[in-house]
Amino acid sequence: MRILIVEDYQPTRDAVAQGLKEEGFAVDTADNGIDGSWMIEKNVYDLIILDVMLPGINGLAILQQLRQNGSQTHVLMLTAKDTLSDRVKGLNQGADDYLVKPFEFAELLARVQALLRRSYHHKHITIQIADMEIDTVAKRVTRFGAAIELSAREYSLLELLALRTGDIVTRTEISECLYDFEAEISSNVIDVFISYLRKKIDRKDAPKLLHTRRGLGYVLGLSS
Amino acid sequence: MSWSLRTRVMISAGAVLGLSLGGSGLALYVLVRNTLTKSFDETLVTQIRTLSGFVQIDEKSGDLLMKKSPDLESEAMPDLYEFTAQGRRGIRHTPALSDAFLPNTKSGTVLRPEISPQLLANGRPGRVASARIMIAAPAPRQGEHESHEEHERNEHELLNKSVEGKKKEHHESEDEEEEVEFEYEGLDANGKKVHYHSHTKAGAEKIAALISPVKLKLPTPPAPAPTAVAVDIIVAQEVAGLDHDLAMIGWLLFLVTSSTILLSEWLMAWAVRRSLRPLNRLADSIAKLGDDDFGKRIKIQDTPTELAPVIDHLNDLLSSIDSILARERGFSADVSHELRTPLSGLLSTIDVCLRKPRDPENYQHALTTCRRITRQMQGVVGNLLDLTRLESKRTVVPCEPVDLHRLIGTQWCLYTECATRRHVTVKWRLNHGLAMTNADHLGQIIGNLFDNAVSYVNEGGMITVTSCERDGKQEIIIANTGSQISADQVAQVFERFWRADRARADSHQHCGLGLTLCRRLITVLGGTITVQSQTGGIFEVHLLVPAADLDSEETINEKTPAGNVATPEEKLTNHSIGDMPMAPYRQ
Repeated sequence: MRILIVEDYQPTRDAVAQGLKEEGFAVDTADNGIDGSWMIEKNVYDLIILDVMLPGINGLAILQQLRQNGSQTHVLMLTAKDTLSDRVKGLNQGADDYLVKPFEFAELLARVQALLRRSYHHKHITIQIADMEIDTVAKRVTRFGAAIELSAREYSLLELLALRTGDIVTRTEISECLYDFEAEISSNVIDVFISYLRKKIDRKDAPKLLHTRRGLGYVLGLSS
Repeated sequence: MSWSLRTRVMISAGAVLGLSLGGSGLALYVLVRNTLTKSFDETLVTQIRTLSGFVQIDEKSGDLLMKKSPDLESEAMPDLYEFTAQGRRGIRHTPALSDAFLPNTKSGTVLRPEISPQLLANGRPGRVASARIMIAAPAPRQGEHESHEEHERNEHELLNKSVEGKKKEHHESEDEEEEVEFEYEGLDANGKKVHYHSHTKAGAEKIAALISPVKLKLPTPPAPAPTAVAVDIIVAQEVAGLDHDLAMIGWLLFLVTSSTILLSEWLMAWAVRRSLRPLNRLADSIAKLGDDDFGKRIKIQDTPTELAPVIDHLNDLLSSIDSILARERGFSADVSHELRTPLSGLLSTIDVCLRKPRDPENYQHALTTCRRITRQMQGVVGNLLDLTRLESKRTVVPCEPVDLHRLIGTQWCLYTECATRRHVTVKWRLNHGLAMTNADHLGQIIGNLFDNAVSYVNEGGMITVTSCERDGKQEIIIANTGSQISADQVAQVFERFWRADRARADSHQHCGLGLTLCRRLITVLGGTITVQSQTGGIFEVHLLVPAADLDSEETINEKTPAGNVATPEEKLTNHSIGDMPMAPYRQ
C-alpha cells in the first residue's frame, strides 16, 4: 500500500512516515502543497494524508483538484483546525476522513487501515481465503489454525493480493504499492518477495493459493 | 428607584394637566362667584334705593312713615327689610320678619351700602345690606307746630330755629337771600305788648338788640326737634339660591376638569404605549440576539427618528463586537493551530518511538526532536502571554535614558553565533544616541528583530544596523537581504501568526508573533515601528523611539567603539568587523 503524506510540520511528518513505514506501507512525503500536488499527479497512491494549512497550495485546494481530476484515492485530512465548519468544509470537498491534531498515532493507523479496506470493498477486518485467514488489524496470518510469521513487506504484499482475491495484480501495481518514491527497486525484488511469501503460505499438502500468471502478474486464491 | 418611561410621562403629564386645568377651573369658579355675588349685591343696593324713596318722617310725631305704594308689595321688593331710626329698631319691617330683627351691621350710604354676609334670624345664611339715610324732618310752623297756648307759656321764645325755619320758608318762596322777615310779638322789658316786624336782617338784629335786655322768663325749652332723622335701611336676602348655583357651577367645573384630566391621561397612556412599541420591539430584538448573533443587525419597522441613532449606534457596536469577535476567533484558531501543530509533532514522535523497542540512537533522536518542539512551544506560549499581558491593560513602564549603542551591542551577542554560521555580513552604522525608553522592552524588541533578520537573511547575505537621530527622535533601522516579502505583503507582517513563507516555517522557530509583539511593545514605549520592502529583497524595519533630552554628543561610529560592554563590533571581530561604516553616517 502506498501512502503520501503532505504535511508542513517536519516532526509530525517524519514521525508519521516512520510509523507507517514500520507498518509495512510505502510512504512518500511532501512538505508543501506544490510538491504534494506534483507527487499526486506523478504517482498512484492508495491513500493521501493531507494537512489543510500548507505552504504553497492549500490542502483543500489540492483535494479539490484531485476530485476534479476524477481520482477516487482516499484522502485523510489532518488539521489543527477543529471547528465544525472546518470539518464540514473538508468533508464536503471530498475528504474521506478527518483527523484533528494532535492525534494519536494508533488512531491514525486504524483510520488509514479502515480507509484502505474500503478501497477494496472489504468491510470486515479479516479476509478469508480458503483455509487462510488474514487479520488486517493485528496483521496476523493463519493457515489451518497455525500462525504464519511474515515480515512487514511480506505482509503488505499478501494483503494487497488478498484484498483483490481472484484478480491479477500486476508487477507494477505491486512495486507501486510496496515501494515509496525514493526506493530504488530492481525488477527481481518482487520475484524474491513472491517466492518468500509462497514458501510461507503454501504447503505441499494443501492447495496452492499464490499463482503466477506469466507476463501478467500474480493472483491469490484457489485456482479455478 | 427607577420609574418606567411610561410612568414618568404619565405622572408629569398628569401633574401639568392637573395644575393647569385645576388652576384655571378654580380661577373660573372664583370669577363666576364674584360676578354672581356682585350682581346679588347690586340687587340689594337697588332695593335699598327703592326703599329709601318710600320712607318719610311724620311731622307731628316724628315717627317714620312709609308711603303707601303698591310697589312695596311688589315682587321687586326684597324678602326682608327693616327700617331703624334713632335707635329704635325694626320700626318698619317686612311681615316675613315677624318679631325678629335683621342683624345690625354698620351702615353705609345709599350710594354705597355696607354689604356683608350674615346669619339671618331664621338661621340661614344671607347677605345683608345696610344704608343710613338722612331724612329731613319738616320744620314746625307758627301756629301749626306750636299752639298758641304754648306760645303763651313760653312767652319770650326766641328761636333761631324759627328764624332759620322762616328764613328757609321765605327763601324757598321768595328766593331772596337778603330778605328776612322777622316778627316779634310779645312783651317787652316793661311788660308792654309789642310787635316788631322787620324785613331785613339788619332790622331783625336791631329788634333782637331791643329785646335782648328783656328778661325773659323762659322755662327750659324742650329739645329742639331734629332737623334730620337718620334712618337705617337694612335689606337682607338669603343666599341659599346663590350658594346652590355656585355649588352647581363648582361641581360642574370639577367634573369637567377631572374628566378632562382622566381622558387626557387615558389618551396619553395609549399614545405612550403606542410610541414605546418600537422600543419594546428593539428590546425584543436585542433580547433575541444570542452569543453568536453579533453578525446580525437590528432592524425595527417604523423606527421613530429618536430611536434611529440608538439603533445605528447599536448596529455599529454590534459590527465592532462582531469584528472583535472574528479577530478573537481568528486569534484563538491561530493559537490553537500554533499549539496543536507542535503538540501533534510531539505526540506522533513519542507514539511512533514507543511502538517497538529501539536502539538508543533512535530514542536519543526522538528525545531531541521532542525537546526542540517543547522549546518552540515555550516560545509561542511566552510570546502569547506577553502579548496578552500588553493587550489586556495599559502598561506604563518606567523610562530612563538608554544608550542605544550599548543596548544593540548587548542584544546582538545572542545572534553572533547564528550569523557566523550563516556567513552573514553585518554592517554597523551606529551613533551614541540616548533614547528615553525602557531598556528591557526595547531590548526585547531589538532582540526579536535581530532574530528575524538572522533567520530570514539569505545564506551569505547582509544585515545592516543603523541608529541615527531623526526629527528629535532616535531611529534604529535593521535591514536584511534575502527577503521574500513582497511590497503588498508588508502590511500583513504585524498580523499575529503571519509568516511570509510557510515553507520555511517548518523549522518553527518563528511562530509569527514576533513583529506583533514588537509593535505592542513599541506602542507602550511611545514609539513606532514600520517595515519597508526594498528592491533587491531588502527588508527594513524602522524603529522610532523618543530621544532623551540630555545633550548627547552624536559621535559617529567610525571604527569599533570602545566600551565596557560587549559591543557588536567586539563580538563580531572574527567575521564582520571589516564592514564597519566607511564614511561618517549622517542623515
